[in-house]
Amino acid sequence: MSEQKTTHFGYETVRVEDKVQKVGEVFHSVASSYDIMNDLMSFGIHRLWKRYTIEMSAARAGQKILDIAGGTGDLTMKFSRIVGSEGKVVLADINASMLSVGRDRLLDQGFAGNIDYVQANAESLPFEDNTFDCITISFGLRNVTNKDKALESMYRVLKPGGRCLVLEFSKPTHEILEKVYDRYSFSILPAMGKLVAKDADSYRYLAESIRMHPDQNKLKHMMRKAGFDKSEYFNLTGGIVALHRGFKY
Amino acid sequence: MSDQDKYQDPRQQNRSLLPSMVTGQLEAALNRALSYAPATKMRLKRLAGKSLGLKLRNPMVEMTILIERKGVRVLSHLEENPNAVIEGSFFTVMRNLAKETSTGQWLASGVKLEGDVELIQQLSTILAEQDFDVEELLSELFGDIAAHQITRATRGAFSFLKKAGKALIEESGVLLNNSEGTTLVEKQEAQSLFEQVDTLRDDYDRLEARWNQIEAKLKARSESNLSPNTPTPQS
Ligand SMILES: C[S@@+](CC[C@H](N)C(=O)[O-])C[C@H]1O[C@@H](n2cnc3c(N)ncnc32)[C@H](O)[C@@H]1O
Repeated sequence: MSEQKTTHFGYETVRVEDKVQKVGEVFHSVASSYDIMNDLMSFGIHRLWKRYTIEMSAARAGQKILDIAGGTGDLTMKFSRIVGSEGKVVLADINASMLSVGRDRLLDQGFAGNIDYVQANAESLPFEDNTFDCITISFGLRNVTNKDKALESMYRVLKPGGRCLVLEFSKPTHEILEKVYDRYSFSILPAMGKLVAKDADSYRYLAESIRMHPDQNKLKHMMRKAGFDKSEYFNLTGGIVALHRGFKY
Repeated sequence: MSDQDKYQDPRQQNRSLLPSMVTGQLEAALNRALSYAPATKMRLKRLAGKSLGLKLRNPMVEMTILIERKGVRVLSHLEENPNAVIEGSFFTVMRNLAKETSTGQWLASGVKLEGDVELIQQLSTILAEQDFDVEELLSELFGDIAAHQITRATRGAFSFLKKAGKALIEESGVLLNNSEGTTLVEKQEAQSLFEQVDTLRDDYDRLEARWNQIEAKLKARSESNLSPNTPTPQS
């Protein structure tokens, strides 16, 4: 099967051109209830995964940061505080609905001045080479059609000395945990999605797309192939989630 | 095959979220303390942009403190290239940081300093300032119960530890259901924290004895010949 023509949409195999649209539909349909679902699905622990990511970014005041596939802006919000008035955070997402929910939410909470909102595809980032001190993609890479291309694009816009962090669902390191997690994500998750977001299919897609996503070592290797130095990962919550980190030297 | 090509055993790469929660609390406590200490905050501002790594034992803790104009951030890991690194036992380091400590005294207390040693000295000078109450900070962080347990076990310990606040144990109880959505802290993680508290208590007795020894030794020597062989960066 050639990567060029077909790709995965959860467990389905779809034409490459269709994946972007299908992923778009998923996030369009969940945008408004996205934050609530996030809390419910992960029992709120996604905040801790994100806190860990922020820590590992070691972001500093004055830096320029790209939060790609930033959605409703959880990370952007934290980065905005850290980089301060001399810094800049770009919240970028391919999906206009997610981006506008994110922008409204950030504005409502008083975040303004150092955040730019950009509709962009991670595969072809509309920024100059060597622009950002840090790039994060949190629960986003899974949805990207051509992940290698996205990683290369992220590498390109990263400044030398900068780092890229990929927070994503991964493979639990214990069999028991994996079984429990499977059960949870394939039956409870879609049911919850139906209840809260009135959209079981989108959350079924979520469960499937997690299984299809490259595991820890595969993704680490992909990052290395894209050019990142010292690419490594850290498992959180037993590997349900992994944070990958790569530098550009 | 280069280093980065190596297969990493996924199990070895597991990280607990607990340290990150604790540093979250520590960061909040530090910044709160700083907000009551404007003079200290002003002085700290001059060090904005610098970072300090801490490699502590008993309990084993690694963290990085980032100094920013608006306050400090505490990371639950050792960053790549901090400006300076302090390596030593938890209580000795805390104690040294809380009072003005010369490079010689740092070394004499068995603590290793790396990198920008002047930064460390500047920090301990700043922290030793009157308006910044390290005791208060630690008491807020650790809570009364821990303080109670620790002091009961150690009687007459360092003054700031005597006060050291609301139990690590209780603290982790708070962590189990605080607003940051940390309801999923595994029992095991909490348990290992309790064990650390126990170890800490045991270590503390020994440490105190050792500290008394060191203090006696330090007293015996005059300040001038305290560090004849230890180069200070200022000299
Ligand atoms: C699960 S959400 C994650 C949002 C946020 N980063 C978080 O952690 O809460 C995934 C986001 O990825 C975006 N996305 C999907 N494919 C993308 C692409 N090719 N380029 C940029 N963003 C994309 C979606 O629109 C959606 O907002």
